Amino acid sequence: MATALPLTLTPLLPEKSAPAKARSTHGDVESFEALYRAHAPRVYALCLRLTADESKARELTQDVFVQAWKALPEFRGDANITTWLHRIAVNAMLMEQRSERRRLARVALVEDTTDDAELVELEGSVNPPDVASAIDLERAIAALPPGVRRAFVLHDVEGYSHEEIAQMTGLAAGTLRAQLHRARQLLMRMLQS
Amino acid sequence: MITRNSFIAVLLSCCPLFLGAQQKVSLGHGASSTVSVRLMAAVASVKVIGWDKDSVDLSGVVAKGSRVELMSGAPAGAARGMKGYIESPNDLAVREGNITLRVPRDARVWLKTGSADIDVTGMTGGIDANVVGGSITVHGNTKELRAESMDGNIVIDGVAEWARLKTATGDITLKGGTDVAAATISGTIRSFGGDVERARLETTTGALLFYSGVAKSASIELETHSGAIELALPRKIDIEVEVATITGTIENFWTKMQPSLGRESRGMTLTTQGGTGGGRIVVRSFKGNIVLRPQK
Amino acid sequence: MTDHLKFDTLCDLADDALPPAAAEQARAHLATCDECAASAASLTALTTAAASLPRTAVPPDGLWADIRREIAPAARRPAARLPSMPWLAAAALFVAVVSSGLTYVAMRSGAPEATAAHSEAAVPTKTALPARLASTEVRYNRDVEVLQRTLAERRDSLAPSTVVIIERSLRVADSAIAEARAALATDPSNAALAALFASNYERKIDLLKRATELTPRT
Repeated sequence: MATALPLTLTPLLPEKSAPAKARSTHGDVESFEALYRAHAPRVYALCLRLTADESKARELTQDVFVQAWKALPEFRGDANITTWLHRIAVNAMLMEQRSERRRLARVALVEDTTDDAELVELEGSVNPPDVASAIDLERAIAALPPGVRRAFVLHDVEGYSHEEIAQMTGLAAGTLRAQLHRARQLLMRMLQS
Repeated sequence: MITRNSFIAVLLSCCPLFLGAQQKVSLGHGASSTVSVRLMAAVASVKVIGWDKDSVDLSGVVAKGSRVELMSGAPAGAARGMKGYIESPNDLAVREGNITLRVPRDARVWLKTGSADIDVTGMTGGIDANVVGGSITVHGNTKELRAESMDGNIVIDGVAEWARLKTATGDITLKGGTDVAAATISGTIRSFGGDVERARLETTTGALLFYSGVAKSASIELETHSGAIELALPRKIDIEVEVATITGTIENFWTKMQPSLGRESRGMTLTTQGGTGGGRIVVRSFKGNIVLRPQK
Repeated sequence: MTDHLKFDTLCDLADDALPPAAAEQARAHLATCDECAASAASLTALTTAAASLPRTAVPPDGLWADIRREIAPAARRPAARLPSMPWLAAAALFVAVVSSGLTYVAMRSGAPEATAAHSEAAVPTKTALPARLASTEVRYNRDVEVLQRTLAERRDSLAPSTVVIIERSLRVADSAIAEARAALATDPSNAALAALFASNYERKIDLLKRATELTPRT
């Protein structure tokens, strides 16, 4: 069940990353802490929007940095470190969703089928919504089904291209496109009503 | 599949012949070769026999006063679905019931009993057997097999393409399989003979003995909390083997490789290279001791 | 004009994903169709608003401490020795006795209060797990609580011998869970240990589920 995002989603100062990352590759916990301080706000914001749940976002952020700590020796520095951390976050969330589905199926609780639901071709026009405020939009994003939410957050909020998102999620471009369009349509309807 | 709307309860000819405290059962109906049969029976034993006739036959003896019904979704012609009940008049009377269910070999049989011993032969279709205290024995190779017992033993004397086997305290014995999962709390799991493609065998405190053949691309997981694990492998095998115990021991009589200490010098691990065919065996225990032996 | 642009087309146009000819056709339509133009404007407003949302958020307090505990547990206690095995075993036994005893009480009494107490009290703070695993355990215990409540309600309909088997098996499962849990508290990033911990829980949940599905008088 989606929860409204906290109103603490506030912009912070621009990140500083390169020196911390370089020192961290030598397994120095203190240097890694500097990297964490520099990048955690971006990662946590993404996790909040992906999960629409504060405690899950906290868990997911923790997972991201623990995995990053383990994978840092292999990080060649050729990719933007934020993108690298975001990729870890998306993968971690996909794994968690798959495990959650298996656990729920075992005790015969409601299965989450929203990700796999058929995406019906969208037709016709949508009445102009009233995109009143960022808070309304955050709440509406939180109310989206997980798969379409992920597509919208990564593309329209974070600004990743279709190709980058396809790499992160392993989804086909056609599926991503359909999810993104579906998200936009749902958001416009929600914000209108 | 039997649906409520299409279901027609037909009490077929049942000629009870009273044998003292027992009555004979003899019921039958034409059935398609892939008929689906559901039977709930409070009896002492159930034999399921796959045969070459296109019919389902329920026979045997039950305690006097038992209620016996065999219902078909098709009053005439070959049934695609059938449902049967055998209810005994009291708990003691259950012990007097011994029945035989004959079905086409490719049928799917779903069977739920309390403490009956179930014995299945000649079936190649699907079996779903659920008992509490009785045992389940399946002879021959079936496509699909689900067997659950609480404290009865499960013995699979054949190779199932797909098998899910569970007990609480009963032992599970199998001959490998294409896709097998077996789980018990404190029973022993033994896999002898046959070949395995995919398997997950797990116990909490029961022992785990794996002596089956392993396909080159096999994916096998053996896991226990505190049971002893014994794994026998061919001397030369192209498969990756990864063994780890948190606080137990690993003894390797299979190859010359010696296990090393685990994380922070606790427990032990042993990992072999290989697996050009993509095969992998993972063995894991909390404190159960693990022994690797060569297959003879 | 009665034909409107499909929403997919509007999205593709906004994302520069249409081939040039199709894009030109779409724009030409927008110039003459007020309804579609309004939709396109709304879509633009939405994507613009989304792109303007803050991309950072203040992480919760204590998160770095949890991460640090997980990546470098030894660094947290630089001079301390690892607990000796007898201590670890004693801690595990304590938890096992508490949690399995409560499971036993829950089955005996059939009272929902006992099951609720079990799920709350089964995790002594002495062996607290990292946040991630603790959260997983909360989900497991939620499932366990639901199933235990159902089982307690049905207990009287089951044969006494069956109840004995179930209780005994649950005690075994609880003991294993407690041991794995105690070990995880001191080695939280051990993936094999986490897998064993999860498997122990899953076998317990499966046993409970099967027990709740038993027919009466069995």
